[in-house]
Amino acid sequence: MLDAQSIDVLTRSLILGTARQSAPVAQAFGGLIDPADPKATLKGLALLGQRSRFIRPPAAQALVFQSLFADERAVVAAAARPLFLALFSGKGGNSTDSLGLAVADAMARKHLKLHPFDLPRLDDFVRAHSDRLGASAAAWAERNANEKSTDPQGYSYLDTLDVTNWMHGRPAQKTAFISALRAKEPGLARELLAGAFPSEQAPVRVGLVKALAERLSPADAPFLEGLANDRAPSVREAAESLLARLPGSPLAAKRLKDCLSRIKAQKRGVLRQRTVLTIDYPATLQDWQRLSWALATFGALGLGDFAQGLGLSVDELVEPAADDPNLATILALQASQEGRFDLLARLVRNGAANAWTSILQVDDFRVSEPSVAAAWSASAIQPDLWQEMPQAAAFVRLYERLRMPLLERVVTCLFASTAWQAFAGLCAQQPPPVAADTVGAIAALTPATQRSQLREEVAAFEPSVTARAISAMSLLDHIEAG
Amino acid sequence: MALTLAKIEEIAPDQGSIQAARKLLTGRSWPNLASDELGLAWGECQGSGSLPYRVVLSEADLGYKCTCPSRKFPCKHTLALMWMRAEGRSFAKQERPDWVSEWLARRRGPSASTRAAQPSNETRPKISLAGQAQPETAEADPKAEARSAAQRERNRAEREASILSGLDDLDVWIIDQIERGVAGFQSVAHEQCRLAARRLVDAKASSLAARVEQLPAALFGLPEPMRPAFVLEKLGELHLMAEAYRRQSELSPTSRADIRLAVGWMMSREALFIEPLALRVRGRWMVLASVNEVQADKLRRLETWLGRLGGGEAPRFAVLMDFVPVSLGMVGNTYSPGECFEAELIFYPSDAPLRAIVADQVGGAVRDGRWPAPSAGVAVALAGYEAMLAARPWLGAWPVAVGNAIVGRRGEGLFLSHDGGGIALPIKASGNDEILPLVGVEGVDAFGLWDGRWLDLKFAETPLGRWLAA
Repeated sequence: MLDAQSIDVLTRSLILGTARQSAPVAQAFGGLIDPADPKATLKGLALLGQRSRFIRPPAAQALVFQSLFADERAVVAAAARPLFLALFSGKGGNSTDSLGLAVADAMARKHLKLHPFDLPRLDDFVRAHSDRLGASAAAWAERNANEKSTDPQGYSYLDTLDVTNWMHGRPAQKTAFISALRAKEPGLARELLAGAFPSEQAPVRVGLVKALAERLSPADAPFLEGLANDRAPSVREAAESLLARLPGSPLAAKRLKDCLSRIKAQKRGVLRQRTVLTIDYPATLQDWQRLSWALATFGALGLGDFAQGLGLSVDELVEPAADDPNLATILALQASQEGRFDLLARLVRNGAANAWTSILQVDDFRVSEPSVAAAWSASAIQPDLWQEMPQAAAFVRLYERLRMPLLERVVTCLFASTAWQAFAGLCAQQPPPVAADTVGAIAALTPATQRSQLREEVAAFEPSVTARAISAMSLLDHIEAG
Repeated sequence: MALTLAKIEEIAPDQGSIQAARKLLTGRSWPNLASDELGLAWGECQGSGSLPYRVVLSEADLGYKCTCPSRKFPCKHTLALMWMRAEGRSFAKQERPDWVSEWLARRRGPSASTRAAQPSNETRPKISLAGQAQPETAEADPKAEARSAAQRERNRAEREASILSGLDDLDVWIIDQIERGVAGFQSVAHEQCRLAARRLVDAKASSLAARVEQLPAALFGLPEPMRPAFVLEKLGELHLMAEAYRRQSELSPTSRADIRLAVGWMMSREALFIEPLALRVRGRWMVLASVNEVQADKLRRLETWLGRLGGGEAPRFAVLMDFVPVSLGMVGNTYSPGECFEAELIFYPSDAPLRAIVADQVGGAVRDGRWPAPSAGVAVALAGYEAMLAARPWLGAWPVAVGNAIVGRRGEGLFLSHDGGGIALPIKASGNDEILPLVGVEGVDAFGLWDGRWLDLKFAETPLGRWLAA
């Protein structure tokens, strides 16, 4: 009764329709169901269906038990897990703000990984920072790509890159590696890049070309000129931009000449005459367009060439430019790019107190090394000169570029500044619309040793302004203690 | 119940409510905040209306009430009140105002804490289940009572006849489907099931109607090759249920009660309290899973799956089910996975007892300890399922626990096996991404719902810590 053949015949009949092929219930169930019973087919159906519910799944065969998210890093402390979920999961979780970046950076510095069970809930955060969160995060972020490939471990993740393995790094890692190598051995960096260049995709090539801005020299000219035929317009534009900055190149000479024609030098003063430099803007420019035009036009010039063209020494540029904030900002950008942080500090104190907010908007400006970032920020960020707190977006951008906290003395100066005191007063009464973003970015920029001070500073603020920043600081404390 | 910020996050309907509640944490939003020694806290929160909203909270069982018109539960005012309690802010000790006492008196459910909170000299009688079970002491008109009893009996008989007629129609409908062929059922499943469900609703067999209405969704959730066999099973199951209902006089009392519930007769909480067939189990229970799903009938089904800590013959698992209209907005489960509490549960009568209500909870729910590892392997868990299926042929998903298990993968599928050998239970595909981190982790003590095809993994204790389904 109900042998394999009977089951097969009965099932086929029910699937195809008993109107077409009557269900052989009597044969299948022997004498159990009376064929004359008007409900014989229904009973057969019920018994057949119930029988199938007792069929057990097959034995485990060819199952793979290898973990998909193997990672040698240590797991973040258990106490940090709820904070991660509170900050970066769900609809309210913003994974890419300054706090998200700061937490990802801290994880990379301390060589920690997320708890594997949190990967699904922190999906956005993991995708945004997979290059800093270790191999398990990289595997999670690329899990769907792996399904398409035959190799289950088809992702690549390297914690540290060197000249032998840098090609296997993730795009952001490769750019950072070449940029850092340029600071030490510019020739070697260029050679490595040139060897690997053709196999990279266009967005990566653009990043790598821009990394050559560090210690740019005439030796880079042949490589950059060779990129004039690159298939991607964005790569060609990046190469042209660097060529224009090459000292002595025809493109640079032409740009310098054009720029100098836009600078007006005048003598002012009654008792003591001094040179004053101002920019002569094109008549078609509106006021609000002037700074971005000036940065785009003058930003790529070398500081030495610019001073020489004006018949001044580099150090003599500071005072003449003080009357034109846009010119002072341009000089601050040039000083930043050439590592003249002493000059930058003087420019900031002489009319370019907020130049850093504009400098950070220049795509080509980057600080590759933590020591350089620290030195630049110490010169460029002088909160005692601020009339009011800069926009939240400026602080967010500052952390994005530095990827590290500010120096202690800069933060001390910030908390003592009149701009911060005024901001604190507002936040305690009626917080400005993006006050939470400002406080968040400042929390990311505050070194571990000064977090308790920041907590005290914001204690009187509206809870809605500080909640995220305070949670993130607790999380950073947990990570850094790990 | 220990009120913590984590608990508040769990019961908040969404992130926006938490953000909104955070803004109400300032003292100026609450002109009046008070509490009593029995865990009741209340306050008045100044909202946009002319009168402040009145919020009351019972910490013991997280019951609450707010007079605001929000359709989120709990609303931001309630969350803010909970938040302030969790942070240990100072509340003035006051006599309970009338509106708080009224709310307390109206509350349903015989929780021990609530009873404790009821003042002994309460003039207004509390609506309690125990009270419902007591015979009325007031004098009643015997004739009127007889008339209403006769009317109830007539209604009952009419409904019985209506259901039997509906079941006959259901059989005809099933025959129509198999005459046409199960292969073609998929193309007409939505239309046909809706039609059959409507007829069953008309016949007052509402639970059976819901089963039929949910059939297409379950069908199309399966891979194509599995669908014909699924349709055969489900149509056969519907006929089995119809036949069991017709022949209920031949069934055991518990099976009879079970099939009547499965077809559509309701058993109120009050009736369950006095039902002699209902199994009562006192013990310490751990919340293993919570499910929050919107049904086709526009009701939100809240399931809380419990596992009993400790041995003995009594049922090891139970599910608490609540239904709330979708129109009420987001409502969260009261209990969260991982919480434990001491309680007596009353199970609805069945040969496979599973659905239950909390009759009496002692103390609050707390997070403590690890779920004790079940020693059973997959084969033992399946044997338990099969025993229940034999006792209750219309069994749905059944809780299974497997100790020392490991999740493996084959192609895109994930499987749970005991020690990496023997039978491997296929894991439900929809949750695969969140289960991926479990792959390869050895020594997993897993809990899930097995429906005969898929294991819906809900909870696991692992060497890496506790894993919970989202």
